[in-house]
Amino acid sequence: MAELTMINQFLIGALTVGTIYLIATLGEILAERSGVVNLGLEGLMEVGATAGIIVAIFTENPWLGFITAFVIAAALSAIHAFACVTLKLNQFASGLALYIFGLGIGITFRGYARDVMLSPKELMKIPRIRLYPIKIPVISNIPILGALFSLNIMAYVAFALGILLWFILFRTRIGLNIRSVGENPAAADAAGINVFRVRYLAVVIGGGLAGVSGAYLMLAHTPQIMGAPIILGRGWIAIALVIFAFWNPLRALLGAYLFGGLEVAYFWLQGIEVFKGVIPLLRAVPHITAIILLTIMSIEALRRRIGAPEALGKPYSRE
Amino acid sequence: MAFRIPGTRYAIKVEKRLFVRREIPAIVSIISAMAGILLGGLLFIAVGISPTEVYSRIARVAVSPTALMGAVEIALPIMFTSMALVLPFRMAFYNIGGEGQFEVGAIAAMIPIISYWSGVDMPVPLYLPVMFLLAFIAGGLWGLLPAFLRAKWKVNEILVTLMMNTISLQIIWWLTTPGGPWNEANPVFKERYLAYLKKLGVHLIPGFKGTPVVPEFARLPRIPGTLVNVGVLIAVVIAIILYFVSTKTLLGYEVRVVGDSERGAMYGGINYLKLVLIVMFISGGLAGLGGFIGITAFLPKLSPEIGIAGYGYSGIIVAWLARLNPIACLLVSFFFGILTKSADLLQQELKISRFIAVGFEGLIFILLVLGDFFVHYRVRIIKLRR
Repeated sequence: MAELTMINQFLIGALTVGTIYLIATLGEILAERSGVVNLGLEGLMEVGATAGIIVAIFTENPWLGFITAFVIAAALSAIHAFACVTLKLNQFASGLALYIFGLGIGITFRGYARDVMLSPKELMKIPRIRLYPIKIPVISNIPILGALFSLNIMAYVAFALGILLWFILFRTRIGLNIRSVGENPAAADAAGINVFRVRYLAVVIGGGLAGVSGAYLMLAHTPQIMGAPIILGRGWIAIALVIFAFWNPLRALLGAYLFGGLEVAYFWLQGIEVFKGVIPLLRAVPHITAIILLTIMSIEALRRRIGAPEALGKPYSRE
Repeated sequence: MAFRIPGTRYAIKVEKRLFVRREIPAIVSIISAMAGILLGGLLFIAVGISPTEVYSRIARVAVSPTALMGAVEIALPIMFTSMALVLPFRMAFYNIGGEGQFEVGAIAAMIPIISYWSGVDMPVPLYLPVMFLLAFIAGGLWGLLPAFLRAKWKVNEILVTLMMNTISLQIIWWLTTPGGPWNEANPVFKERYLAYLKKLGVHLIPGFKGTPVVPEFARLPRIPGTLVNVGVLIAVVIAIILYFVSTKTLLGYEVRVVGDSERGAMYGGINYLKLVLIVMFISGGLAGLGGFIGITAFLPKLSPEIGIAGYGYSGIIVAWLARLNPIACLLVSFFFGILTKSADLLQQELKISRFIAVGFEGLIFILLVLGDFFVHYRVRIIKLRR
């Protein structure tokens, strides 16, 4: 019975942490399907984390925190969209710039909020506004499978979002438009699709989701306000997961929960005496795994002749 | 394209430049940096600091010799991490791994020092050259993996180099953490290191992250008669060599051809795998030298601090601002050193996060990227005929 509880705990952890990756990865899939890479994810997540927790504390409402995180990250992504869709500039440089800017201001304002804006009394509110797992009566007690019914609301929402994004991309006209803009913008343009509008929307909504992912990390996983990095490379792993998923939201579900599981696994291993001396090396495991997976996926993509949307990273101009 | 300014007889005309004059990118860089500094004032206002105080601080750093020395110390490693990107970025290979290559260089350069404190000696004049070589080779090797994966299987180099940054930082963390193999409190360093500290009148306080310090004989000295570290001379020499390589050699030519069109280069008979391996070995090696400079010129030890400072990431922005010109990299690094030094001082006095400097750099970077529009397009105000 004790083992069963452990497995259950592990699954709950993996799904809860995996949701951080999932939300960000889904956003990036949306942007990249329209042909725009957004390397700013890590920075947008830091900003989302800060905005989410501050607003949630002030309004005593986590949902307003999520919405604010979405709006601010979307607004920052609009700069990126302007740079690479309208001005047709280098997408990698623009994304990196957004990353560094987001990292800097996200952490600065979080530290400022803790030291200056928020009183100790307000900081005490955190346990009240954070998201807790909701155990659905009876079925959450089923061994192992019960873990699927013991999660916080956002974890369910993100799962549904994954299914929804898949449905939109592959089963609706809107999705067909998005994909055709990412594959062959000139043909899409000729077919009467507004390439620029599709790309703007995809980048802005996708970036907004990165903000939500950061806020989720704060509000559902580690609700601590500190003036130090908190995303710790998860944004970059989310970008790697897009490739792992071959730009398919359903495969993204798999990848995100896999990395959630890895993170929980090494967190647990830290508690075991034998691993005490090599804790930092354990922290590198997800990144080593990501490199190996990226390599396998790239070989696979070459062999099966599948890959990134054809126009990914290339600006479109009517000429 | 022309847009009429409403209510006037003037219009804004935008046209693609057929020929970009050499000075235009430089002018755009300078204007972007200036605009970044001005807009950055808003960041400081947002955290309750008057921007005039910030600007006067920057000005004071720029005229005070001791503060300028501090700025040079910050600039030195960035000179190397930015020059490291000149060749790979020119061939559109986005090496974001300068940070990791820098860290691995610092680790490798530390090896002779660690053996010295554990009682294994080498002739004194050999230390600096050996550390220099180890740092270059280690950084270069760290750069080879992403190059190979990209050339062989088109694995995204941005992601691989980034992941490797985290891995190298965690290796430093593991080596230097209390109880770790290179931590200064490790019993293998006991006799010699404790005697050294005693001579300095310092007590070893266990529980800190970090290796034993680099002894004086293995530190880079100052240029005699000045306050400037010899590292600056090394950087200047490397900049000149790099400038020569990128403009006057076959390697530099091939790098430019690949940068213009990867496919075209293949038809032209350029061996991409070989080229990218050579370029990334040089690139990683130069970033690794930054790590060597870091531990021999001013930090004098290895600790996670070296990674947290983010020299590799600053190098990306500097290289971009410098338009991938190695000589310009030196000047822009110095400018960044002044900015970062000012932010450091502000942070100590006003207790704001060190990361505000990162936000500041990011803002300059964003404006720089947006400013590139004016490199590619000519924007004029014209008078309409009627």
